Amino acid sequence: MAAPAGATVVAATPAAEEARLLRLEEQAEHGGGGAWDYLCLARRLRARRPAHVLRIGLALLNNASARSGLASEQWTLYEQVAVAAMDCQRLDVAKDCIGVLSKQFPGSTRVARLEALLFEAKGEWAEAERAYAQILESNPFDQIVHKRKIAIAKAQGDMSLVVDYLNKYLELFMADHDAWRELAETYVSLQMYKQAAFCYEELILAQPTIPLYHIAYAEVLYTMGGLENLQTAKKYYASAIQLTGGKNTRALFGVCLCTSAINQLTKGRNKEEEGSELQSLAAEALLKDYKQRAPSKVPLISGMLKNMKLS
Amino acid sequence: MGSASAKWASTPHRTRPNIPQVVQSEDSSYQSSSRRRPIDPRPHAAPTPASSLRSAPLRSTPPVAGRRTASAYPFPAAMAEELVLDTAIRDWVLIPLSVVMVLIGVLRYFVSKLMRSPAPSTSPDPKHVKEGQLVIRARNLRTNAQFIPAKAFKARKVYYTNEENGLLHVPKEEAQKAQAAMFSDPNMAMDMMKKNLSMIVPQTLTFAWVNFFFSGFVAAKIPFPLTQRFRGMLQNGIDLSTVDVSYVSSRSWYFLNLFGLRGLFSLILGEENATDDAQKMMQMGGGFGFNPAMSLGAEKDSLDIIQHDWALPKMERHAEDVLKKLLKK
Repeated sequence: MAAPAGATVVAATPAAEEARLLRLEEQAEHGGGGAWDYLCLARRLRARRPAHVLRIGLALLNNASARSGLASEQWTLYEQVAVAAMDCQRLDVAKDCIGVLSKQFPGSTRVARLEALLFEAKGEWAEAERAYAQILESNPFDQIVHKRKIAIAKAQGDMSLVVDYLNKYLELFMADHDAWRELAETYVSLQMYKQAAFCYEELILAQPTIPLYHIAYAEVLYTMGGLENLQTAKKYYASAIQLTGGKNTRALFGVCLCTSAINQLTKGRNKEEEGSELQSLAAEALLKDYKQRAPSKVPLISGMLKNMKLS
Repeated sequence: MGSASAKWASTPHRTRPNIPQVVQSEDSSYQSSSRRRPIDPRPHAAPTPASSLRSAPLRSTPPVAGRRTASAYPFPAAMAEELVLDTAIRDWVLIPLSVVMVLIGVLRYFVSKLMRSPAPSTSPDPKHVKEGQLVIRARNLRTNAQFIPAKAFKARKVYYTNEENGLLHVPKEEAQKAQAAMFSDPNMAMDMMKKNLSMIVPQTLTFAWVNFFFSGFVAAKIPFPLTQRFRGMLQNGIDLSTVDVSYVSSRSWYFLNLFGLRGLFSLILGEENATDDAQKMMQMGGGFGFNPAMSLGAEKDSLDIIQHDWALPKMERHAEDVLKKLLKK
C-alpha cells in the first residue's frame, strides 16, 4: 500500500497540486495550521496569490517562535513575503523585510534584486534601472535582471524599447521561449504581424504540442490576410482542434472564419478545397457545444453560421 | 612447524603478559635494554628509529630460528597471536596520527578556500552562453521542423547554415583556434595548478612525515580476522608474511585515515568541503569534454540533410476524425 501512495505524491499533476494549494490556503487562512506548507507549495508552483501569501506569511513572521522554528528557511520566507507585499503595494512591509535580509546578507545579489524591485514597485524607474545596471555589472548574464529591465520598459509603456530590449536579450538567450512569447505578444500589440508570426513559429518549434501557440499563430496569419495565409491559418486551427480534441471553441470558430474568408476571396472560382468537410464538422461541433453549455445563445450562433453559409 | 609452535608457546614471556613490550624472543636485546621501544616485529633491527624505515623480511634473519629448529621457516602462525601492542603505541602513534590527519584536512580546507577566494565565480564567456542556446534552438528546429510552413523552415535553414554568416557556420581556422585557445588558457592551467597544489603538497608532506617517524610500527589490531588479500591494504610497510592480517601498520593507518575521514570532514566542515580527493581526481580527468565549435558543426550538418515535410495538411484530416468522433458522442 505504501508504494502506490508514494507514487501518487511524486506523480501529482499540476491540477492536483493546484487543488492542494487552494485547500491549504483555506486551512491556513482559518488558522488551521499548514501555513508553512502552503507557502512552500505556493513558492514551488510559482502561484501568484500575493494577498494570501502576505497575510499568512506575515502572521508566521510576526510569530517569533514559529519563525525561529524555520531556522535558515526564514530568510526565504522574508523574501517571499517581501515580493508578495510589493504585489499588494504594502511597501512598508516589503521595506522591512528587505531591510532584515540586507542586514543578514550584505552584498548579496538576490537582496540587491529585491531592493531594485522595491524601486520598481514605488515607480522610481530611474532608480530601479540604476540598481539593475549595477547588478549586471558584476554578473552580465543574470537573466532575471534582464527580464526586469524589459518589464520596466513595459511598465513605462515604451513598447519600442521593449522590443529593442527583448531582441537584445534573445540574441543571447535565444532558447528562452518565454521571452519569445513576450516578444510575439508585443509585436501583435504593435500590429507588426510578420514579426509576430516569426516569433510564434519559433514558439511552435520549441513546444510543438501546445495548442495555444498554434491558435495564436493562426490568428496572426488570419489577421494578415491573403489567400495563402488564410489557408495556412486554417491548417493551424485544425491542428489546434486535433491537439485539444475539438474542445477549443476558439479553434472551431477559427476554422469557420477562415473557410468563409477563403470562399470570399476565391468567389467560388477555386473549388479545390471542396473535398474537405472540416468546416461543416467544426460548425456542427460549435452548435452542439452551444446547445450544451449556452442554450440561450444558440440562435445567435446558428444565424452567424448561416451567414457564413456553413450550415 | 608443529614442534616449533610448541616451542614458541612455551617461551616464558607468556607468563608475563603485563609486560608492555611485544617480546619476540628471549635472546632479543630489547627485553633488557632500558629503552622502552614499542613493537618492532623484526628481532634484529638496530634500535635506531631511522633504521626502521626499511623493514626487512623476517625470513632473511634466520639466526634466531636457526638456533631453535632445523626448519627453514621457523615462525609459526601462533607468533602472530603473540603480539601484544604497547599502550604507548596507542598514545604516541595511533592517536597522534589520526589527530594530525584531521587537523591537516581542516587546514587544507581553509587554505584551498583562501586560494579560491580571489576569483569567486568567473562569469561565463558570452560566446559560450550564446553557442549553448544556439544549439538548443537549432535542435528544436531540426526535430520539430514539420510543424512550421515550408517557407518559414527554408528561411531559418538559410539563417542557420549559410556559408557566409550563418549562425551555425564555424570557419575552419576559427575552430582550430578555439581548441588551441582552450588548451593554452593560462587561467585554466592556473586553476589546475592551484587545485593540484592544495592537494598534492600536503599529502606528500604528511606521507613523508609518517614514513619518517612512524614507519614499521604495528599501530592497531582490528578485532576480527581477515584473509591474506587484505595484507597489502592493512600492512603496508611491513613485509612480513607471518604477522596476522588483522594487525594494521602505521602507514596503512595513514592511508585509511587519508581516504576514510571524508565523512568526518563533511561533518566538521559542512557538506561541500573541499577535501574530497576522489572527486578532484575525477575532475582532473574531465574538463576538456565540451567543444562548442564541434557541436555547432554537427548541428549544422544534421540541419543540412533533413527534409522538410510539413505535417499540417495531415493535421487537417486528423482534425476531421477528431471532430467526427466528438459529434458521434
